[in-house]
Amino acid sequence: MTTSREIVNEVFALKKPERVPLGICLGGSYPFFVEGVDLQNLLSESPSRAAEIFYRVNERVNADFVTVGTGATAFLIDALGGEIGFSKNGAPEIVSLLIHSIDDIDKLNLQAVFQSEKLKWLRAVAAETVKLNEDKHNNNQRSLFVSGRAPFTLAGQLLGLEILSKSLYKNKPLVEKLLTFTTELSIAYYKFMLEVKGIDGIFIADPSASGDVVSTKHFETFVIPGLTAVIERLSSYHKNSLIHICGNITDRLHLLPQTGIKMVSVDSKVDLRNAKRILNGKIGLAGNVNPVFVLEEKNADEVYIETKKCLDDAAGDGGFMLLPGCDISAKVPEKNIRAFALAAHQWRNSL
Amino acid sequence: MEKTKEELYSEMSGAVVNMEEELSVQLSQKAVEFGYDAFEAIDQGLAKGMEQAGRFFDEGEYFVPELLMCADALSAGVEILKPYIKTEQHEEKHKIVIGVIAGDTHDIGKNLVKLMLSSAGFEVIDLGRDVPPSVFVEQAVKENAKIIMISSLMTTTMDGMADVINLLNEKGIRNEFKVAVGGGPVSRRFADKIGADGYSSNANQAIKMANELIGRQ
Repeated sequence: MTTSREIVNEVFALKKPERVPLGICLGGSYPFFVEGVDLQNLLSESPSRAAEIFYRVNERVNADFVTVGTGATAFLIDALGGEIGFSKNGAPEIVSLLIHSIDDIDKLNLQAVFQSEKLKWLRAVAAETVKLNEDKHNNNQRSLFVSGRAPFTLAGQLLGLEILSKSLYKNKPLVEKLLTFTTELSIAYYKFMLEVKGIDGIFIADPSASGDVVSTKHFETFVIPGLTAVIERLSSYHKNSLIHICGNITDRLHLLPQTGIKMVSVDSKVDLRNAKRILNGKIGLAGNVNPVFVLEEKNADEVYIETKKCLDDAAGDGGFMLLPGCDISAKVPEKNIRAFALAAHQWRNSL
Repeated sequence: MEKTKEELYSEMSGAVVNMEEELSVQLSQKAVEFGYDAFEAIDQGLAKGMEQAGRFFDEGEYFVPELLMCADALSAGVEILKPYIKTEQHEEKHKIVIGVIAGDTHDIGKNLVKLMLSSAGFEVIDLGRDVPPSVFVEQAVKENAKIIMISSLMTTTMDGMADVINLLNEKGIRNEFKVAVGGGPVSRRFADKIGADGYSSNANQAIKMANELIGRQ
């Protein structure tokens, strides 16, 4: 039997697998919510418990693609000395900003970051997840990705998105210096996590580069260079790479293949047929069933139909992975996720 | 040759829409020097520029950074003119309490809506981010607000919006307020589902929606 890992690898290689692979969690909160635990409490427990929850929920809903670390990206800000707050509703949030002037960037210690107990715990969770995946009794190894943030979004987390937005016009030296730092931060983080053997790829979230937030011109100037550097500097690991950017990014999709990224996950606002046409087989595409209006609010039959539409639009010639268009909430009924997965599993017959 | 009032107002509008904060200040100072009515200079000059910026935002020509820069240019001009507004010109402003629902700290969208509504003549009371449903209700009552506006950027926190409406119903004061919702994952369908009176997909349209909610064209 072809394993989930093999099928995911095939779509990253832009091939047509025997069925369409799928992932469920773009964020990391869903498995914890449905199991009734929260990240703050889990931190005081063994990494194996978090890994168990994470892996088993993905296993239960038939996900081929599993991300580790999503929902915990604020740990990086915590490690730099920032204040984060845990939430019952989702991932930890950044409570106060670390950067107020260009000089503050020099005070950040990149090396000290990786002494953080929270990040060590996160890496241990990844290692435990690999163990579960590679357990001899597990007959379907999944594709495991470590999740982090792109340089532009990290810059927003350090400076505040509002100030970053204005600084694109008012203070370019600050933006450039900050992006230089966050590019190194992003690279160092992924290297730290990739020390775990058995990880298949990196998942990069860049919500602040959203098509609803910045223009294509700013995207090209401030987002693309950092992303390119991250991919290039991690190329020696020979891992797959996937980026998710929120909002309608149709007008900037054409810029992504040049970064070296292997696949882009798009929001529900993006027309998949159009995205396929723009990407033109240069990189893979993932997406984009609406997490609220379809997965949360419709019934299982409707979810199946809507999911099939996405597959019809984008999966025909391979190089496609089924994902929600953005993170799903804990209120998404599991039967709807099963319908979403079933649509992908049954769609293989028409490949 | 001295500029006519209309020319000056047009340049003030242009300064805002072109994100030129210093020019906005200079032109506002000129409006004061020429003895033009400060309220009119804001209304016919600076605010018109912000309206245009909002249209550019709707059309995908401007994004968040551009809108924020325009808002800075607007605010800088308003600061110059504000001391010269005659007290009797203050028409009663409709009050709006606005905030980001509990569990969510993404406030850039809420801040944009606040800026746009302020420039459109509303008095906006900002409750901040991560605001519990009970605080929306308490503050709306305390401030005698007409509208409660709730923002959320996370699918995981959206349901707190319904809690605000439920609380208003429980207290028997639902009819005293219009409730409007917005934010990335929020839709008209969601707004209807939770019984909200208004929904806006972006900051510019929030002005039109707010005007409709208070019966103003």
